[in-house]
Amino acid sequence: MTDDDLVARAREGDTAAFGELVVRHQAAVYRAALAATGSTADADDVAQEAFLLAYRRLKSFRGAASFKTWLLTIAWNQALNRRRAATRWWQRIVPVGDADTRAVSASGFGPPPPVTPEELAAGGQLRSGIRQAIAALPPKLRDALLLAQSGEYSYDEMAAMLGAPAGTIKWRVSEARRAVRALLRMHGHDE
Amino acid sequence: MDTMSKEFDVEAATDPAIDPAIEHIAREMTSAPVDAGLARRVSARIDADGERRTWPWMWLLAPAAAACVLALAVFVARENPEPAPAQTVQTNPEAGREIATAPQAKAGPAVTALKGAAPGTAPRTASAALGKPPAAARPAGPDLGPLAPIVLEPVNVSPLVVVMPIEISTIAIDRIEITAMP
Repeated sequence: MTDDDLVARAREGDTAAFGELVVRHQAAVYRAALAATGSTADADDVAQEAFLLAYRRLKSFRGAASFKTWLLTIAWNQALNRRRAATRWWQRIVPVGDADTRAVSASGFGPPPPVTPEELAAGGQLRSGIRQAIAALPPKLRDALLLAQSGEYSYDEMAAMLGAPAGTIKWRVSEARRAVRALLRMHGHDE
Repeated sequence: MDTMSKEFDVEAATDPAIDPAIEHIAREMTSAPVDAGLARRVSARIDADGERRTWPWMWLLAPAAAACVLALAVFVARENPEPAPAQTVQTNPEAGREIATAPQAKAGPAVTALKGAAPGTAPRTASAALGKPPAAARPAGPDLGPLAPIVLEPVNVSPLVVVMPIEISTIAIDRIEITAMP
């Protein structure tokens, strides 16, 4: 049964059909939310909100895009709302001077987990440096990079979510890689 | 994972060599497994939301019903107006005259017009005097039979304010002597 069939049944009030749509697309929605918020708890909340909102708005779905694209757009907007709220919260908590701390913490991509000796031996420092560099990227570049590398979305889907042409998304991904490399050099990973 | 070793030459990684490491870490950052209960929680919230969305209509029903009852009451009241207490006239068949229960100030002219009238014509005359539709136009109520006259005992009311006379005694002023100025 296709998504369109399930959508048609869900519109008639068949919650089981919508449940099947949830199962099919929960990973894509959850990972988009995780890319935006950087927090598994926030991503879970955002995913629930997005599915609930999609169910309420199901009658307004015209089928111009695929159901997955439409759903991802809703989820991404929900995630951005959550991220903006977190940013505002951090702006109240963290003093103005700590711009770097605020940018990294509000994004949800906090400091990397502790590195074990084995990881250190296997390039843990570089891993940690890359994570920090990605977290410090401007949101537009970081969003494009994380969504592209998650492997869940086509460039058309990302274009719909981010509200930019696919060519712009490709440029942002490339620019994000370049910025990460530059940050790595800045922090001495080229020694 | 050779590409992620610290000895990796990042300058050389401007070529595609370090990009796999970046892609790998970026993929890791969005690769947390989806919670197994997510679909179940979504279904529960949809069910709860459906119930919650029906309640506002139930809450709207109460004021709507109250408004309907109010409108009906106003409509019925305008169709069938009750006479004001000042216009109530009771007949005394034994005495052949009417006793007005209203205050004299308001019902005075009507009662004056009714004095000495025949028992059967009293209500219609009173209504005509007040410019109201005749009582006969109203639907007939149950026949309660003749009513006994109400006898009012005279009430003697003493004045509320008693004026007490005020007596003011004269003020005696002694003679004042003023010496001449030098």
